[in-house]
Amino acid sequence: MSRGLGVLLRCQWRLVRNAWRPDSRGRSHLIAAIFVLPLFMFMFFVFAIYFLRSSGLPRTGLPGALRLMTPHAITGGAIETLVISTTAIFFIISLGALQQAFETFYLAPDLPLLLASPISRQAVLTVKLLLNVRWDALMVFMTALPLWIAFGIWLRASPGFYLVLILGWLCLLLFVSAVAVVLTAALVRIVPVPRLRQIVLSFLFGFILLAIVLIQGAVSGAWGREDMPSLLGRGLLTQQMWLPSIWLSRGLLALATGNPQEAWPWLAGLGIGTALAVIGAYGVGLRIYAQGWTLAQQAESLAGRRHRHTKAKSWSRSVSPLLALVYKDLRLFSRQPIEWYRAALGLVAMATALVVFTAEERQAASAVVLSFAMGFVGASTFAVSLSLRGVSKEGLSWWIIQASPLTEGAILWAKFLTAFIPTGIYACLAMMGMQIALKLPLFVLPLSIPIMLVMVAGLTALDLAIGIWRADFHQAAETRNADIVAVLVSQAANYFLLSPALILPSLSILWASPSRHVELLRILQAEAVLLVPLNALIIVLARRYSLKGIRALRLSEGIKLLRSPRQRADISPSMQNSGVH
Amino acid sequence: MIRFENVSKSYGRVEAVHNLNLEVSPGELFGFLGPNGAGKTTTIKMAAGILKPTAGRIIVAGYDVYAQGPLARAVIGYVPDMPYLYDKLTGREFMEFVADLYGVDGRKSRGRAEELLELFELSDYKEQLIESYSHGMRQKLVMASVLLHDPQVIFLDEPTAAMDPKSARLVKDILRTLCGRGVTVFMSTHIMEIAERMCDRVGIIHRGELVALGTVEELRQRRGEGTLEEVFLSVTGDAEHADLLRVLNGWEAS
Repeated sequence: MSRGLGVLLRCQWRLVRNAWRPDSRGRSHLIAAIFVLPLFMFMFFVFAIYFLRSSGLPRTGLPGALRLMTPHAITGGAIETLVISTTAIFFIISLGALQQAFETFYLAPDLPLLLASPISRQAVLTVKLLLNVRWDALMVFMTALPLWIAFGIWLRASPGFYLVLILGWLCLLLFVSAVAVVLTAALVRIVPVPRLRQIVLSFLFGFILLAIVLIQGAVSGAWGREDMPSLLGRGLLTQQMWLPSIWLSRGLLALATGNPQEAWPWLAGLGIGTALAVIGAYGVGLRIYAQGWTLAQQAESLAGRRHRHTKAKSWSRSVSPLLALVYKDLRLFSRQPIEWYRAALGLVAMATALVVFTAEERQAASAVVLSFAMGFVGASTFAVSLSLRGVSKEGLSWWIIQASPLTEGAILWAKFLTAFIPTGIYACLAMMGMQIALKLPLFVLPLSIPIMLVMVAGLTALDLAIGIWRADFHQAAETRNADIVAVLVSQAANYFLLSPALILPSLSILWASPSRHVELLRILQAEAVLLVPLNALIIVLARRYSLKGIRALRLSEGIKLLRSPRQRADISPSMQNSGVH
Repeated sequence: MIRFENVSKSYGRVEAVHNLNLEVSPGELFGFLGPNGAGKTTTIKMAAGILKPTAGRIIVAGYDVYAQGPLARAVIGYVPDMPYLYDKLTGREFMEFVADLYGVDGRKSRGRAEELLELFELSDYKEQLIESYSHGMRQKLVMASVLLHDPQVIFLDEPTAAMDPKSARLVKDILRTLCGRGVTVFMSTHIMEIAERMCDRVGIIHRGELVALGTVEELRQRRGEGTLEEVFLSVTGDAEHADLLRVLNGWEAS
């Protein structure tokens, strides 16, 4: 190992180690991750076991399903889903690796320091390659490994299977990262880096949407054999023998079923492919990296000057300070492509659900509740950006609001409006779509909208409060991800808010009537009685907490409330006594 | 115009500012000096109303910065050392936002914003997203936005650090003109030449305590030193400086 590589690896190790220090800023995220990651793993594991049980795949041996495995087609529900999932994860990590390669090789802030040092380019490339693998490994660790481990346990695979499972995925990760290095090195010579980043992001989100549709369709069994998604799933994801994910899947499947002689050709292919990709990354990457880096710098600098001659626009009409904050937030929201992808994600999930749930005729109560639930679930996804991160997305620009004469009440009200208006529209439109698809009479809609708006108001107020509780302003980017703990807590709280609506179909005594119209009216009344007081209470409580929280955040340096006794001491005693925690 | 009364600020066990008592008169340009980590930024943040002191109170333009927060902040202008702005707004949109935030009359603010952008040579860039601005341009934009609402007191934290000489000169001229019109300026800086030539009075803070206060001339006479830099080094301790020279000389000898 060269000295340069040693230096860089030691530096990376220190970065990882120091992230755990008590005075490290992102430590709470790491601690949260310790709890969240196993939770995700466990979730995928349980899902896989449940799926294997329900698929009819026998627990020992493979009499039924695997006999159907031919060299050209993999069939059998459980195995097919496993391969589809593996390939879907492969595509996601491939696109992620591509984006990560831009970040680490062309945009990382440490690059000027590293490239100006006498450390060899080879060492820099190696460390960056390992960093890319690390990011993708997280995704694999959370999703693919639990699925395959469940599969191995179900089939009572030998210990060797698990070893090969880890080595195989490592190979796949290296393969993906190495190919991403070569591709990015070539692409930066053609397309400017900022534009490229957006294109890759678009693909990434596009693919996630597609994967959701496919997986949801496959799991619910809604798609017929001739349906396009099914064809896509089987044709594109399981029969493409050139895909390294198929090599890995086939090798692991054969190994799990006690056929090592069938497994080795596939696994050897993966190993050779990985070796070639890594050699390619070093060969091609090293040769053209320096030039690519220079071009990337030029592109970044040109991007700043690109609009120099943009036509001047007229100044807008002045508005109140509160509305100024609302307009600013909506403007920023509309200019972040990632926010639109998130909104689209919810819409596509809803469209899928629409197809799945409207496949059969439903009773009046189910149809109304379903329309509420879909609108609310969509709103819940949408609200992550606007309400949960409503305050903390101010990031390092929080000082502008802190120094302004806006009162805490005005800040909270502005943040509420910013989140409530678009989320309310989104939820009502989703509900309307669902009601039309479920063929509910027209009079239901105007009666449902006020109830939905109250629900969205409750959701917005609650998410804002949770976001304020976990606010952390130490990020310059407005698109920073929400704190994972906040996301999980808010999702759980949102479903709690929805739960009264969901119990309604089981209370037929309340709404049953021979007339469908009367039945619908009674259900809507019951919804209103159950949901309006609950949401009103949530709004009042969340407002009280949020006001105190904003007051504390306004006069502090943007620390998270209640993170540690040391940080708690930074909030003045009067605030601690006021019950901000 | 600005009065610090027994102001202290602690971060856990570390006391960043200790029992600060200081008064700055209307129309005065006050220079706040100190080594890194001395408590300058904390003091300015407290005075601008974005950080609450652990003890004491701060009166700005007759308002208690905490008890009368919104009223005080309406007459304060604050320029931070690191001008983090909204990257996805254009320069013009940011100016509009600040004008609305401070409730500046529409027509008046738009005309003034245009003039300020022109003055700071940002007119050509006003339709560009702030993400494309350099550090110096961001600082100029913040400076321009601060002047929009006609503040009575301006707090500046290292205002000229990232600016080119021409812009730095412009800022100095603007600050002097504003002081001539009765605006109080409280400015932290590392640049002794700025403090020496511009400030009516300077205060030197070291390890959270105000260790020197007066006009540059008074400080020179009191300490018997030649320049403000020498006064600064003598009150903040130049032992490290001497140690550094000794180490460097040692390297050369070996």
